[in-house]
Amino acid sequence: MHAIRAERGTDTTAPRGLSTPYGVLDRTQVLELSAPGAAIGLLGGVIAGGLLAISGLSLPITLIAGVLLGIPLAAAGALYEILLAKGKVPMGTVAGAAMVWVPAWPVIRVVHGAVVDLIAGNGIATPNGILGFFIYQALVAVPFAIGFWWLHENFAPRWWFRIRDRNPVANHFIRVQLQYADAAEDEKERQSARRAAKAQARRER
Amino acid sequence: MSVTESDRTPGDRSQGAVTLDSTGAERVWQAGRLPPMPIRKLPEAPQAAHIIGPAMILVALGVGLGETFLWPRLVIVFGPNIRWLFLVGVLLQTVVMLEMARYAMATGESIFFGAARIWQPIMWLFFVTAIAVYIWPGHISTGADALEELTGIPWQLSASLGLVIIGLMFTVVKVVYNIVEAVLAFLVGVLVIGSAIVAAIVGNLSDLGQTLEGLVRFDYGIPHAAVTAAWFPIIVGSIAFAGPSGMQQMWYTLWLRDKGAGMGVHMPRVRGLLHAGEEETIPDTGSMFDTDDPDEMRKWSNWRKWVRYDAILLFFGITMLVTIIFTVLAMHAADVNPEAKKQLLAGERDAALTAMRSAFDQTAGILGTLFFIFIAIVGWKASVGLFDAFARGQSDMSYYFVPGAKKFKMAYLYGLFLWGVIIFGILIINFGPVDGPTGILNVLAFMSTFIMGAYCLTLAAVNRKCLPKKIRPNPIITVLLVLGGLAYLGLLLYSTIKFGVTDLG
Repeated sequence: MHAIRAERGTDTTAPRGLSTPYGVLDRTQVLELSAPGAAIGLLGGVIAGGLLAISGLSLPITLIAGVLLGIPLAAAGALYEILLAKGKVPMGTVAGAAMVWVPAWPVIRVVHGAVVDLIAGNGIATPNGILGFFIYQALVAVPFAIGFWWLHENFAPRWWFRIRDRNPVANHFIRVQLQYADAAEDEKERQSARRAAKAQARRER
Repeated sequence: MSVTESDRTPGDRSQGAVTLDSTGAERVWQAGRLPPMPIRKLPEAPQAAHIIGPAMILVALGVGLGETFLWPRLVIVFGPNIRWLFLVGVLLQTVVMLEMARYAMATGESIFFGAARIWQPIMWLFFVTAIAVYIWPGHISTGADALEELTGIPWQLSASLGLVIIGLMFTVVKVVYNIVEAVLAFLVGVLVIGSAIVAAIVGNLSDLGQTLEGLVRFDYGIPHAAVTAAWFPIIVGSIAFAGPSGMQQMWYTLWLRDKGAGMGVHMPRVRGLLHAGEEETIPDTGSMFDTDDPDEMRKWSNWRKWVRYDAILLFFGITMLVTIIFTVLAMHAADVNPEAKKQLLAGERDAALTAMRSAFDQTAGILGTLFFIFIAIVGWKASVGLFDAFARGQSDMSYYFVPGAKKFKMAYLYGLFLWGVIIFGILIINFGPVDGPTGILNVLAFMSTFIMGAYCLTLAAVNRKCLPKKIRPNPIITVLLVLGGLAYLGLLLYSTIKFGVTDLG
């Protein structure tokens, strides 16, 4: 990952995810644009599956539980990317991630919990009733959204940079990001010029 | 052209004034007893608030053993209402963070340099304390201990290997900050997502409600059962471990500089040992911006907004979030396994890791394992940040204040301290007189409290004495810092006098 120096100024009036060239994308381009969100969602499934595996559950239940969580989470992560590309959610904000995860997470968890309980032969149980369960899951969706947003902000731009030549939306995202880098470059050049001028003045003295 | 604060006349060179220097050529800010800072331009702040600052590293370090081990243990023993102390601790740390950032962004100097401007012995106190506290491989050995419980790999082997990996990582990279940020960003992300998934599977609304209520139960006070020789020192240590502990907040000023925040943009970044040749010339001091220029003050105001976002959303938000999740888990574990509580109350503190694992195991097999995985990750993650920070802080102080040190490049000094602490750590882990990993952690917890009291008072003095009036903190903030410093030191003193023990872990 490339850490970014904070001195980059930017034009905040520039559209942040609005009016992107999403309409011109073909299916492959949409898929590759969805990759970061899907990968982070999948990571959630892998974490859950890995934990279940080492906690001694049988392999079939572990696999089913991991897949049942991983695939919907990956789908919701991909949905976030598409909404971002269409300009339907704001770029780079926790609120944007929460807009997707707060409704999606409780549904995914209800299905996941019910199916895993049934397969494990425990019978379906919802502590504190179904409403309490839903509310709790919606609340837990917020930290999940924050974790998702955190990883997305740190790692998705690297992916966009890689595919920018063949994906106009990724290119658009990178252009927004590069405005910062341009400002940093300008500042560096100004500093070098100042140093050179000073050195010249000293030599002349 | 002369630049001065509004209530001073041009040419006034007394402390606190912005003046012309003796040649009349360069404007400087005279702060404290060290050479003045030249006046430079403040860069524009990032307008997009979502650009993550070094608070991320502080979060990565701060969300550590305090949140995952010390506080869950207290919750198992005393219930969730004890958490109000955690909230107070983290709120104070948020104020400290904003004030550390004020000095670092206004000057590009570390808080160590600021302390030296007040009185150099204060800085040397931090220098010596850092060595006394941070050469011990406490975090990584506790993490390795947890790994041994999980996998059977001897903790000495995994801890030594972990240290060598950290050393190599910081030696080969071009700019050290970048790798610290990347590694910690990933681990924090995984930690937050993992915690959320486990909380979703295990917790429930009622536990969450009690946890949130416990955070604001200021009327709960400190229970009588906690004012004992066994538990009071632990409560003091846990308060110190709420959020970033020890010298982490002081090192935050160095990360801010490397991130290029505020006047930090005029200072070069620390490079890996293999890239020492690319190091830029290091100025003798930090620099100050023209506080009488409205445009500069506008930029300053934007920098403050940027750091507030960093502090409140990232630092405070994520710290509270992870800790709330771990409290929910601990409460659930305590409900189903009252035996763990009995064991802890009976003084089986060295077996706390195992006791808590067994408590978690009763809830679901997944949790006991998960608890140890988190402890292992947290231990390694903390070491990545702490060793970088230690080497960064010590090399910064050495470069500026040890006679003759400026002959060496900063990267060499950084490498010297980094490999010094790693080699010492490996020796201690394998041959040292250690009575187990928890023993090392206890020393760290005790010294953390002391150093936190000391830096609160130092920070209050530095920001009032070494900054131009227009950018000094509000007096209420200074009072808060002083009260916080006195509270840390007072609790430590009371604990030591009353109970005569120093075991805070």
